[in-house]
Amino acid sequence: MKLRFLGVTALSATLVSGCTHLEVNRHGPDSTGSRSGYAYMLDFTQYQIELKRTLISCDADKVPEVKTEATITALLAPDGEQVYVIDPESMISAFKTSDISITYKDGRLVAFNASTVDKTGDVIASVAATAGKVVLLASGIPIPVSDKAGKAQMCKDDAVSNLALIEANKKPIKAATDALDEANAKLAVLTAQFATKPTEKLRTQIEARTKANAAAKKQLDAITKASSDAQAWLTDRRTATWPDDSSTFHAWSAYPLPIGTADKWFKGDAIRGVIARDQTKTWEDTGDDNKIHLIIEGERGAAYQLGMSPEAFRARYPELNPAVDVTECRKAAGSACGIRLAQLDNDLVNAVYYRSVRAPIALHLVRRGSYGSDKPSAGSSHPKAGLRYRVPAAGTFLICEANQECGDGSGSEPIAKVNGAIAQLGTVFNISFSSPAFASGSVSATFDDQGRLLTAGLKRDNAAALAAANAVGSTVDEAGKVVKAKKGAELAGITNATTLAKAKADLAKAEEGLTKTPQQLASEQLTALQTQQQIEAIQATLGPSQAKDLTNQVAVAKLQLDLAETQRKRAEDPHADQAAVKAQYDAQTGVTNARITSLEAEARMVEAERALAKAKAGS
Amino acid sequence: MRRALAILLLCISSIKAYAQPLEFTQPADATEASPEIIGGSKAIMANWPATFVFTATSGEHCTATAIGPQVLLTAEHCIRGAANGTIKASGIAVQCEAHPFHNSNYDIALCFTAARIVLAAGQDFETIDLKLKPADDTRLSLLGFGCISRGGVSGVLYEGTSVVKDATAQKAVFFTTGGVSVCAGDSGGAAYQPGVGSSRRVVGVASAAISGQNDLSRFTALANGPTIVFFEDWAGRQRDPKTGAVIPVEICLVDKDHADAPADCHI
Repeated sequence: MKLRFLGVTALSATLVSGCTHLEVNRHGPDSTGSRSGYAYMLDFTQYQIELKRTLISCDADKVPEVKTEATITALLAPDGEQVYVIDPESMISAFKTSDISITYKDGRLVAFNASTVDKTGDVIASVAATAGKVVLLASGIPIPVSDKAGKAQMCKDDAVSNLALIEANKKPIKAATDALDEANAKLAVLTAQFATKPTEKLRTQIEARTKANAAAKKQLDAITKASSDAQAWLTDRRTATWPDDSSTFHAWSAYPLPIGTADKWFKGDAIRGVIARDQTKTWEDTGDDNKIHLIIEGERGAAYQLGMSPEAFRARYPELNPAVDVTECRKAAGSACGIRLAQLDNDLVNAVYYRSVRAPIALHLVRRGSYGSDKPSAGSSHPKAGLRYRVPAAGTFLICEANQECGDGSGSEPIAKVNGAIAQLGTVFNISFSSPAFASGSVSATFDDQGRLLTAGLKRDNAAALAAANAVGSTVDEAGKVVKAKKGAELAGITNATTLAKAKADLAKAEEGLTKTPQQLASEQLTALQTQQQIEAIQATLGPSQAKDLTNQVAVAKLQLDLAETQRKRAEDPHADQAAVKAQYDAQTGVTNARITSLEAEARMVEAERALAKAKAGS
Repeated sequence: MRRALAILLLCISSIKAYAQPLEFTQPADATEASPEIIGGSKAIMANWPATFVFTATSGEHCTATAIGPQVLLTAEHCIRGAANGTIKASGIAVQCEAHPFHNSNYDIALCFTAARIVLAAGQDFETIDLKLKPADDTRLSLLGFGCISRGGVSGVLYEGTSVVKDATAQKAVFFTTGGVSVCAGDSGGAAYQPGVGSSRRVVGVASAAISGQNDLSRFTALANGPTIVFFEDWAGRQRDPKTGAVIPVEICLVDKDHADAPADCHI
């Protein structure tokens, strides 16, 4: 666990009069006070979200299904809403100026008159890669239940054909993979026999087998690539970071499917036509006069459907109000009312299309347990409050379907969720310090990288001023020694060596709660990095084919990791038995196995060529 | 109909009007070979003699219910663009008209037949209720053509129940959830509120299905002012196609103000 040390190891004594207070002012955009001093920020928790949406089914008699998955990485970011300025003037005594040393990283105070702290890397909590959730497109759009003799299709032809291709290729890929596996084994046997006793007969067999395997590999690669390309076409990925600031705890409709992807996959105009004709118009209702009137406000109202305030609605549609007879207005298409109503109808269609087909997501930060709040904690604003720090609260970051809550107690399954410490749900506390006349003392505090208080110490010494000054001096000297010792520490950017060291350190200091245990993650990282370093070293001394061997081995190892990850997700996926979801996992597994077999074929062929070349050289 | 929470059948229909007229037939009885659907049971046509299927203007299959000797009730979206047809078995001409507020959730239409609709001997027309809007949690009987999870309409009649939800949110519509839900081919079909014994009354017309977390079926309610006005106005305008004379239209109604119902109305 990394330590963040905020230590005040020495305060000056004064011979003159009065007390010394450590003064720290909160700084905001409207602050009018002095900006002179040492500024620092608290951190807040931010999430990097890799959102992957895959179109998994597009049958003519079904609503399309999109599987939404998320990989979430928790980060710490400087909180611009929690900026504090340490007033150095408050430290100056009659005898000497306090020897103040401030060290920052990314705007964060990492040391105050104390040792620096290694702040390498920003990943502080778990990385969660979830199995995701299947979202029905057009959810919420009423579909008329007349049945058309020729089944209608919501997806475009390319979407339908790509899905069909992946399905059609599954069996051929499996058959070709199995056949090549067998052929690889045969070639390996021949090569081993040849290495022991090279004969002309074996040479001929090896050459023929190598040629056949190369052809089979080429065919398998082609069909695997076709499936992979189709899968890539049916997948949309984006990365986002949320929230932007520490006072945002909910986003009800965010990160929709990009327009380009929605247009690529779906027949947008046809769907909009269905919406226009058949959407339940909650914003139109029958009045007591038996005429149809508009509802503008409230959850049923047109303004809400458009995501507008009532005032914004009135500004955009000035001719439309609850008194208007909607039927008569629609009949008078050329009138001001008719034109505006047509505009409203069109805007509402697009709003429903956005919600239902482009499938935005909802994001929530929710407290777990009794500590914490989603009302931003301002902390004390008094300058004499001293150093501010924040203790994160236990919370859950949830990704839900748009405009929904999800998770425990809501009845709706989340798309993804991760539990952890969320800084901005926590309360801002403070450590104040004052020193009366003829006294000196020290206050120290250490925090972990989550801002949680680990240790605190307070010492006050009422010795005479000179003794106090000496104590101050020696304490400052001690602090200075520590600072000097740490100056040599390299806080380099991310490099292989640093990551390797970090992985080793993490192995010893694991925390629970990761999707894989930290030991597993760190071991994999370590293995991959060590292998990579070995390859780089070996490439300098070995011939290309041997280097290729090692590269191949790394590639196969990575594919096997992918396979294991797919199997883990499948085991945890509550939708795994749904036909389209099962089909997707089967296809993914088939393609990964095919790639492994193809790489192994390459390795066997290289071995065979090497054996033949060696025998030829020997003769 | 299908089991609620099963996969929804989607139909995106062309909005172009086709030239061919509507064609009404009575559905076949289910047989031993007909597929089962969970939550519903095969219906016997003799129990639902006034239920018709028809091919709509855009090639869609819909349901209609005879609610009087010369009156069929169905969904407006089934007759968009063209509104004339025949009853296949008898060749009787049919002319349909949409509710004037059909653009504002009133997805219903009335069809007038040029001659009396022929039902099996002793069978009754269905009775509608223009005063009763079903309350939340009321269990209604639904009728439909048993689309199963894949493969579409089975062509035989199924019956099942579903519970009313959000009855008061809007005057024009109500929703049901759970049990069976409407599916392709059920548009225009009736939702029945059971009474005592075998009595029942039509309280809504199947309009749409809404997929999502809790699958909903949407019905157009009959018990509201604009629909009463539509029925009365429409009933007073029907004319004999040969003579042009106004024909008194009989509708099987349960209504305090219309206590006299024609004979052959289901109680």
